[in-house]
Amino acid sequence: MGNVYFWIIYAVVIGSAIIALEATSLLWAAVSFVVLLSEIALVYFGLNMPVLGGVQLAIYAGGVTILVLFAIMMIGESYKKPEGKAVKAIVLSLLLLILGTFFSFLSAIDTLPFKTFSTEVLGTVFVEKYSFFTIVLGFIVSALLYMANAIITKKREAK
Amino acid sequence: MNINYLAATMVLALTGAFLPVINRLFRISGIQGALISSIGYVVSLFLVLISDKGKHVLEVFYTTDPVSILLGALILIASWMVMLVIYWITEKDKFVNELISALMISTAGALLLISANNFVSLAIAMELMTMPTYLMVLFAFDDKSFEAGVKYFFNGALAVGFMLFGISLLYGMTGSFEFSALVKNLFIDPLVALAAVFIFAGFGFKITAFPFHFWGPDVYDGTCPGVAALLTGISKSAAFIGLMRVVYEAIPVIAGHFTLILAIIAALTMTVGNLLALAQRRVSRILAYSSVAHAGYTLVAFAALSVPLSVTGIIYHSVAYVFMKTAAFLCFAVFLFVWGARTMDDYKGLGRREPLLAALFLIFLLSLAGVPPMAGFISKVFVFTAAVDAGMTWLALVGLLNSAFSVAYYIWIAKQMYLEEPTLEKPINDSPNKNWILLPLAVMAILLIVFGIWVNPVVDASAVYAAKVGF
Amino acid sequence: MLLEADVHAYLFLSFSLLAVGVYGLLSRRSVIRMLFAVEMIINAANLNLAIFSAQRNVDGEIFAFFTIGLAALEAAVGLAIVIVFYKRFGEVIPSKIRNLRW
Repeated sequence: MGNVYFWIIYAVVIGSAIIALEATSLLWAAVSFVVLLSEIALVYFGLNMPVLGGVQLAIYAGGVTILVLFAIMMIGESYKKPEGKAVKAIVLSLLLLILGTFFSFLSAIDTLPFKTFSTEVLGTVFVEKYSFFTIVLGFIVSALLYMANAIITKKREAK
Repeated sequence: MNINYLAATMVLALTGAFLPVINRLFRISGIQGALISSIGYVVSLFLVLISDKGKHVLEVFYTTDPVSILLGALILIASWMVMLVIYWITEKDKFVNELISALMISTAGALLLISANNFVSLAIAMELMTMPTYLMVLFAFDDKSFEAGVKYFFNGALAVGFMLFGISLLYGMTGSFEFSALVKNLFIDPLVALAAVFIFAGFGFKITAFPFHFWGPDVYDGTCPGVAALLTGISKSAAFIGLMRVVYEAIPVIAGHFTLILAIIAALTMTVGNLLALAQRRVSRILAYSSVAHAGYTLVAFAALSVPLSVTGIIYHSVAYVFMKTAAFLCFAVFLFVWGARTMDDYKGLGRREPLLAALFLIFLLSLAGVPPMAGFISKVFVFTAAVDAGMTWLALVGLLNSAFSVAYYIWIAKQMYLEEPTLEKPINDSPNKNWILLPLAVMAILLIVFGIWVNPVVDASAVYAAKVGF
Repeated sequence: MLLEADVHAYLFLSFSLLAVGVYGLLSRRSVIRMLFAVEMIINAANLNLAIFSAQRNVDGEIFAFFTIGLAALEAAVGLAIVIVFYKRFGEVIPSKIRNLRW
């Protein structure tokens, strides 16, 4: 059902995800988060999608991790975990997992043979079909930058 | 998508993107900023109204049918009025141009969302519509805005995650993102049902349906009311039209089996919204809970999705909702700015102090309650008739009961305004050109009454859409 | 190819990542963990898209590009909100703050 490499990667992904959520020290949680994102990029490389793996590494393991590290530096290490187990959350997430796996076995989805797309095909389809959305992303970025500038200046003047 | 509609979206977004730049270069005042933005809105409105002629581009991703032209024009008008009122209210703030820029870009995202024909463009347009609002909620820089911002952000991010997961499962079943390919290739299958549940959960956060509505009242109450008007009027209406396109065009084969669950969710949403609104003291929380209840009314039309009248119900309720909810929050914003009126006690006697403004507020409250001749009444008629046609008479009865409940608190606000003695002595910000603010609100009131009497445009547009969807 | 496995195994991977993410988001330990959880959920969706794209056509991979970009923007916005919140309240645990009635 999957060779041993797949199950090793599975264990690393889920283990680092759980450690990222439950570790008491914020620094080790961030390290585990980076490991999670890099493992997912490894999955993409294993599916013969080097472009997607590279983008995942660059944006997530590079950009988002640096953002998170800055936030952790500003917030600091003083973090006490609230007591008690979140029973409802565990129940709901386990229910989701069991339901999802059960349905995926009942479903008519099947494993087609894996293909490899050359980078040329990827680039051609991207430029010919999907190029409009880069403009849309540009507008999102500009709106976010304007509002962030407003909020930063308000924060500075509020002191 | 028609080239004119695309040009309208681009003109609006570019005006929004360049407005702060012009402010830095030329130091424009509030009125000049409103003028420049109004020019952008007028050009966009013109381009949307001539959208039935011209070349078609991007047919894979977007479509331009009468529904998107009608809703696009109305969303533009509502957003224009919100912009004018925000300029009038925040005349001392230095960053109002950035807020208006984010408002215009978010409205451009709403225009793209209501014409999306493909899950890729739907997800990206929804992100364009909601990303600026994450930061707009923080604009009034006080404690309640911070809490509202944190709650809104995490609920919105969960919504996006669920929606993307559902979209990826549907892509796995068929290999395509387009609605036309999905409707041909999907079949009844457990994984498709799970994907439909995820996508509906994602949309359910945006439209404040029952188990996902908990962020609604706190966010609409905590942020400044101009931003709340955008969130609850324009974003919610566009999300309803997006959900309509998904349910009717992409997953009709599986959505037909979910009608009972949708009916239960609709009933619960209406009841929770109306009953909790009766217990509130602050007027902004009453309006916020009533917007949760109105989402329930539209979900009644979704539950009746086997009859073609439900399409008319959804579109008519979105048309009425764009104006009445936005205008109600804008009236509240003006009252808050001029008199500092927050709770029901502060509203006592305002009918005599501000006759014209209170009369307009009364029109919007009556439309929300479903009183003829405003558009709120006729939209509820269509929605409940669709429910009866689909065989869910119990749902229509629950809806009528909830409508009756809601009349109670709307008339209570009206009674406070007109029949009680005033408690506030003098206004906080009595500016000399106060009567200019009545113009945008009067425009929205007139449009509500016009659409309440003249049902032809909406009924024709929905008939064309129902024919396209295959009724 | 190194990682050829059954599609059910891959779906199990993405569903379990989704489950861990939902647990993290609903248990509300602190707002930074909730941000991690949001990124996990979006990565689970991207994994799904990549798996199905490797078997079918290239559209899923391109949509995964856009989703990665949008999720990074969302993380940036979320961190900005969290930092502003922290600078005002001095605390990042949601349940300890009085008026937050989730």
